[in-house]
Amino acid sequence: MKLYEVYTAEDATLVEVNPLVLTGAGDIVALDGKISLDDNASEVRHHEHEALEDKGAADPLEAKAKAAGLNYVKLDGEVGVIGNGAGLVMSTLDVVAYAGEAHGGVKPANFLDIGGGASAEVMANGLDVILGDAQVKSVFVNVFGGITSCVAVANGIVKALEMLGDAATKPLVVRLDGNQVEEGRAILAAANHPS
Amino acid sequence: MSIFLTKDSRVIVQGITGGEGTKHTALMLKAGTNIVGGVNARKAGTTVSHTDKDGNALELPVFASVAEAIEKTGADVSVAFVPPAFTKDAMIEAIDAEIPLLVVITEGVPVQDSAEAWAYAQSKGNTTRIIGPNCPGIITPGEALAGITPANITGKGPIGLVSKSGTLTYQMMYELRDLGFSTAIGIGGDPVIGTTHIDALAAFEADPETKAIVMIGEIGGDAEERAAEFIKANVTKPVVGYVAGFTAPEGKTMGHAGAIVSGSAGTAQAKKEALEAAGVRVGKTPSETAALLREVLAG
Repeated sequence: MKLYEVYTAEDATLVEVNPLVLTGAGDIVALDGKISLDDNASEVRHHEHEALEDKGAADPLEAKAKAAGLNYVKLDGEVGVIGNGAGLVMSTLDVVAYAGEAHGGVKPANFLDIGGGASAEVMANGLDVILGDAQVKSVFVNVFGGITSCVAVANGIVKALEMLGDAATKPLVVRLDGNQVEEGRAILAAANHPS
Repeated sequence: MSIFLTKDSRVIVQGITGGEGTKHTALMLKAGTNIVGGVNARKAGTTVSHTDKDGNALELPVFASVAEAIEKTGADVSVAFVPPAFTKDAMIEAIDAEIPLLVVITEGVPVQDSAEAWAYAQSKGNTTRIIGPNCPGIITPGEALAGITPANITGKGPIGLVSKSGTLTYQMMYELRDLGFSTAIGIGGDPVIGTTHIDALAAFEADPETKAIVMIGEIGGDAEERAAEFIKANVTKPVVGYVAGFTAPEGKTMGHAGAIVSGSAGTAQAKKEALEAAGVRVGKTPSETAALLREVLAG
């Protein structure tokens, strides 16, 4: 019953006591326990959960991305990946890894979902985090223009590169598809980023 | 034909006066959706100005509650664009009003809130079908859109699509845009959702217009494994599948709250194997999946 109270009151997704032992003296003792908290609930009504976070234990790039409000997971490869939508980014990681098999096992360096809007600022923040990863040798941007047209996405990429200036040193490959794709690709071609 | 949503659907928007509500009400109208009003208790009695798909000016009434909106307009679908903190209340209000279809777009809803609303709908005899939360909604191309899927990707056709992911839905619609879709439904990537892959598969199986089905899954949970069992026992139409997240590391949430591999559970490989064991051909990439669909459709 108390476990259930913790589960509901703290908006946990898991409350586990394991192992629970019966000692020779006849006492029941919880030797270990584990709690997983729901990030959505921490955001909405459990702001006190933030204080529990061990910021020192987080990957520095993940911490930087989180501070910028980006959905980022550090992985162990060389190709930086940016995309819009969690499913599309996961799919992109897989495709990069498949393609990398033919090149000695090149792998994706991260998961980064910039969401639907793909504004210049978000794109610049995303590129900034990825270019800060010393393991990254190139960056692959995979954006599908849905409600946001490819024109807006292409302008976002160009502006992001302007904002980063000389810091944007690594080769950038962009795959752009969807709404107004021809116009979007024309904008990228015209910008002619030297890399 | 189509599933869950047609040109005759009478749609209201919960949160019609908010930023997202306003933007997407305009886009849904442009897609041909018959939007008959909206809900915001604090602005009840006012109207919001929009234009229909032919460019005619519209004044949409704002009601105090879903129940009132149904009574005054005969609405049978609600699309909710309300902030996460208020989503549970909005869902319970819609369930109490017995709206037949409730599409919850909101991302970031606490899992226990979704679970409570889901259990509440069950306790009311499931008079309300819930899609979402954290989903792009549902589109019957050329007829109606209840959600945020871009309506200009493709038109009507023989393919039914059900997906956990929004952008992969758009991507697949784009790959197969020459063929078109009966209905495309994004069920969302949260751990607790209303309509499941199985619900959509059952509806597509019963829909005479749907000739083949694409099912898109991703890591986390066991929804794809359960769908595979359902397909084996109940679906006679050809189904092709795609699963995202083969390279996802264990224990990391990949964007969607439900997208996490826990130990050896919820991996993309296990889902692919389960689907293949049920006779579903699974593509390695979205493009390959689209090519498989063309093959099965050609017979």
